[in-house]
Amino acid sequence: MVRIRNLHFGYSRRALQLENLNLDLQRGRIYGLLGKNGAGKSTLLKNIVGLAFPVSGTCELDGHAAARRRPDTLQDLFFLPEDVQVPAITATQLAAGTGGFYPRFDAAAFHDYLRELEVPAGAKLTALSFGQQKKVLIAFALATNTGLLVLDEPTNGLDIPSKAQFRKLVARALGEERCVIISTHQVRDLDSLIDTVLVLHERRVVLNATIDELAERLHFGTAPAGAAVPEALYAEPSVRGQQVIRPNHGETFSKVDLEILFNALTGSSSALATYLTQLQHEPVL
Amino acid sequence: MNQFFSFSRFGRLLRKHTTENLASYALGAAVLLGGMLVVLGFVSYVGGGVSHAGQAVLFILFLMGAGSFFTSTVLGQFGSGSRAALALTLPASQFEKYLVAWLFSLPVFLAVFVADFYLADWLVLSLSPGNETLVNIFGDAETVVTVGTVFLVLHGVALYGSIFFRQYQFIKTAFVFFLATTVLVFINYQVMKGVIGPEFKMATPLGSVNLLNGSSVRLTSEQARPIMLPLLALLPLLWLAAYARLTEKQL
Repeated sequence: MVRIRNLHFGYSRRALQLENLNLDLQRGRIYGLLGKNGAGKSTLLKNIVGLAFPVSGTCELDGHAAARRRPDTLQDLFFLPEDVQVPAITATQLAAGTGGFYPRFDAAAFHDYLRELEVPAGAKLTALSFGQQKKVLIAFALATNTGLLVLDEPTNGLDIPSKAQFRKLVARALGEERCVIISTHQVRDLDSLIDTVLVLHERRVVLNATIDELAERLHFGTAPAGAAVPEALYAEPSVRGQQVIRPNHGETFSKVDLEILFNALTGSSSALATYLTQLQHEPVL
Repeated sequence: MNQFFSFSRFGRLLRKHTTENLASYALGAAVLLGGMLVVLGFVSYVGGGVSHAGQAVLFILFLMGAGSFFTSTVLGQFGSGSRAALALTLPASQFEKYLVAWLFSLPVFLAVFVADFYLADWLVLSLSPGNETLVNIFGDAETVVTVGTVFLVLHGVALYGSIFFRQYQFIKTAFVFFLATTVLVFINYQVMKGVIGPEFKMATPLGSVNLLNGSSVRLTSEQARPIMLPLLALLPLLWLAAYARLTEKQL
């Protein structure tokens, strides 16, 4: 679905934000794009949807350069930016006026999503709170049924119940024909939702692996504070002692802790990154 | 599916744009009507009526001002932020998006503007004590061509400014336009000084020279007409540049 080859991008050629990126994103998966503030997550997403053009290299959607913004490419993708600005119309008018641009738009599903997110369909969007406006666009994005759904920090501005609701709706809306990319710096928001983790750090993708692969290769556990943990790839102090990542030698599977994994990959220690190199889509820093 | 233009997609885009902007456009037309009523009413009150020449001058001033302002906003939705992200990724071709903006800023604007002006003019003249009649703006073909050419060139400049600048498009475009005009006037003044010496007060580029003895030298309308041609040739270039800028727009 998305094919990126040797992509370099920077708003100035001298200061690249993305460097020599190679990535293949498949249908039927929910990708979680993680990175620190300013790591280039939004920039990568903009390259994918054709809102930013590579300095060199290619970014293609189903074989067409994203930067060309062809109507037939655009009608199979929906990009929800982090901040939303809505027109002064109702959600129902939004569905009637914009839904028609997306061949698989499902108006009934849109109204169902709105009901579940508790947003009134007949109210002017500009009269709603920021969180509610965002929910309308999330509902719209899901109802378009596009092959590629790109959500940039979708949970920013949502209250706690809505975040859980969001996870449920996205999980339900995913089908075999759909590729969902969700970027966030709040990794807990993606817990139990994503099936593939992408970590962007220092201009490169340093991890591209499925949750199953990670669970197979790594063991997430705890250890007493101050205790030496043999084979520890990463350890950080917590209220229960230490949280530790170790290689998994066929032991019981542990739940992948995205926050610890993210800290381990973007911190100063490179032990985990080196260990995972064989799993990587591209070399680790 | 045609990737450049499709009537059904264009029709859908036109309906969407109208639905989303109708309220603000109607409000803008009402404000314009109010502004015209105030100015025409003031002129009528002070002068005891508005002559045909006065009506024509106010028509031209309002046309240039309101037209430039409105045009400099029509591609603003593609400028920056999430609004631009949603607008640029909407499944329609860049040409269709451009054409909607062009249609609203030129034929639709002109129709609404002329209706607004005549309504305001009629109301003011009905209430004024004099017996002036409504001016026929389209009566003098020479003036229509001259004013029309200047208006179209301003439209091209404003349209390009509306996509070139990310924010405050009208202010920035107007600033660049007046800066360029000042530079042109200055260069023209220096050239005229070199040609006829220092014995003149003012020189209008491509227009007239006012001499110190009170007389002026100006082009006849036959001589001035060919000068409009390069200006008209500039117009498609400005429209094309605005379209090219839209296709290259990045956020």
